[in-house]
Amino acid sequence: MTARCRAGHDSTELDYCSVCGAAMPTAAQGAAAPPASAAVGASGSRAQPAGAAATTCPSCGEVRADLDARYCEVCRYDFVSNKPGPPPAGRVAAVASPAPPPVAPAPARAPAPTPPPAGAAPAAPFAAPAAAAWALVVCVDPALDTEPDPAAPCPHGVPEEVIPLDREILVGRRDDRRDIRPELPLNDPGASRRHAKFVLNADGTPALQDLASTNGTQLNGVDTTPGSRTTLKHGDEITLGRWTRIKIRGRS
Amino acid sequence: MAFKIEAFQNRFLPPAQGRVDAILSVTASPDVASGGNQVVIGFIVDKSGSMSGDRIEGVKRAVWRAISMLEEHVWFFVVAFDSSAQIILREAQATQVNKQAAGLALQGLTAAGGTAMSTGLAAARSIFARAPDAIRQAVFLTDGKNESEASTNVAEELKRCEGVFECDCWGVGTDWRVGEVQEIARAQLGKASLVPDPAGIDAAFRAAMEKASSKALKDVRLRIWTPQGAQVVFVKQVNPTIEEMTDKAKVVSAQVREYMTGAWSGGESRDFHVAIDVKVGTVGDEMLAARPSVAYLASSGGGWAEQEEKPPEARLFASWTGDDSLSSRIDNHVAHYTGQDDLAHAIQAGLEAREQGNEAAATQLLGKAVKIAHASHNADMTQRLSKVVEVLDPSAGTVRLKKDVKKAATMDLELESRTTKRVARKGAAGPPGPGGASSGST
Repeated sequence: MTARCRAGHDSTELDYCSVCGAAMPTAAQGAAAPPASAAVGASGSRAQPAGAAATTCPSCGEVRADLDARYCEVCRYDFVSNKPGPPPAGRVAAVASPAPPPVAPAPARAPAPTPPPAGAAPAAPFAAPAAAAWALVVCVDPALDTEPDPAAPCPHGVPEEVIPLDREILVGRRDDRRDIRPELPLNDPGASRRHAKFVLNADGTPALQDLASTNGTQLNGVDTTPGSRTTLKHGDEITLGRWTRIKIRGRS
Repeated sequence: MAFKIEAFQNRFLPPAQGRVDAILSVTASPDVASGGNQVVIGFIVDKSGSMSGDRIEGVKRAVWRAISMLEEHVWFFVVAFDSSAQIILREAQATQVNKQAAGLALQGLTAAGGTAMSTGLAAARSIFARAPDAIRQAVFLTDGKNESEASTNVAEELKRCEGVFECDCWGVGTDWRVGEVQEIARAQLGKASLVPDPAGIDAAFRAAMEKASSKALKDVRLRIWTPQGAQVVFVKQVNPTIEEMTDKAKVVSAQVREYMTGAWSGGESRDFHVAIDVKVGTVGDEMLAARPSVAYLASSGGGWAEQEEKPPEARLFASWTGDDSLSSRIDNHVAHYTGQDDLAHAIQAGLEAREQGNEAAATQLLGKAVKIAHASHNADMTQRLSKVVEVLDPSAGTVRLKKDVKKAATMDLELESRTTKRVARKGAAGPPGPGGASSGST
């Protein structure tokens, strides 16, 4: 709706011209204009956390593209015998793959172990982690980067992060295009997309599941066997990729 | 309507004058409920070596008690920094279980190392950035100088934090720099305050939690349309604190600018001083000099919806007259806040002169401050001033510098110098926010 002011401007306002501010011909001076509150509806939609599909590998969480295939494409888990698969013949150098698209720093997270009561509570701003007896202390340790690559320098000043170890946590580089979203996403070019996994034993103690990563994983300085699963204790240190150090912290 | 805007100005201008000065009093409706909104509260605390002992214990207790009082729909996290940052508690919902876990995690917090404030801000930013739809409020606490990094680190980090979260800041004790902490608070639309001793952290954090969890409207922006040929000279918030906003203008369209004020609670009220130069008219002309409005995000079905309210009472006018008795009057709200601005400047300059040992200048400036504070019934400020100067005659502004002044008293005076008093309303009982007062007074 527009009207014309005395100076000839098309005005979107009926009281005073929206261009020059002159009183509109029909408007008495200072007259109350109709309440001009405009509401523009533009509510943001929220991403819904994807439900855990039944068609994923029980070991590494890889989506099974081919349900008839016997082994997991990533960790070689045997779906028939329900056992970790044989180790790969050898560590294969990473084949040049298309660069992953730029990703938003928003790691997808598992559902909270302590979900809030359903009701009027607003949607969670984050997907929820919670308290745990065990925790991972993750840091970027530049000292580990013994062969610095000027094209991908080790970031400095990255804060140490404490992550509750209360569920399975996949560690690796996030790749949205392949829908690989580790619970612990690493900014480390030396890490595989599915590098390793922290799992919980039946008694609640944590274990490290090696996922036969390209560049391997070290537990307390020793290479872990591809496909192996090692129970962890307080104080254990895991190093992987070019600069990632993960310390295991148990409840004190 | 979520907002009420009242305009106070003298619309009459003498010939050949084009400056329009006005106070806009903006009040959010008390009916705006905070329930149902996503709120994330981040704690950013100093754990450098100087914090060891009572201070870190005070912080742990205060954070823990602040978390325990949070309602279940609120989310929280804790970041601690020395020369680098550590995420003590990742974001978690304030459920009973998570509150207990927070207590455990806080027990392990110990103080050691240097102070690099930008690392704490960066860590908090990375967490807040993952909850873009939430109302994001932080509290920042330090006790020392930012010694372990270049001061430009903080300025650069604050640029990255802009619009990501709001932050109130506290300094414990008197070994920190007012300027450093104020820089953070002002960039993050918050307030910097002094906590003299660790016992006070608890009360400070509890008040912060109440404030943060009551926020109901997000990204509230004062928006100002001006006619062609007009220029916005300045826009500043003048109550509850003086905050320069002119440089933060965002251009909405050729004739519309907007100024971010952050998140508001229901019933919250703030005053703004707006100065506009319009194209000079001839005697008898009247024109609209500005059409202020408030744009904001209102919660709507789990998301946020952009709203704009443009009440006609907010309009500012310019009306040229040959009658001096009309045009020479200064609106009492404009005069009051111009005085409060002078008061702030007199205090800041007076304290600086005192610091430099220039007693004559300090006495004169702080005397002027006492006089303005007295005249504007700003009793809080008069009381703060009296800790630094001996007031001999408040109405004349006669003072004598005190000899043994506690450092906390001068720091507190400097920090609070920008806190203003509202216009005293004769016969108007009740809370600030003019009940039936006529708007658009001339």
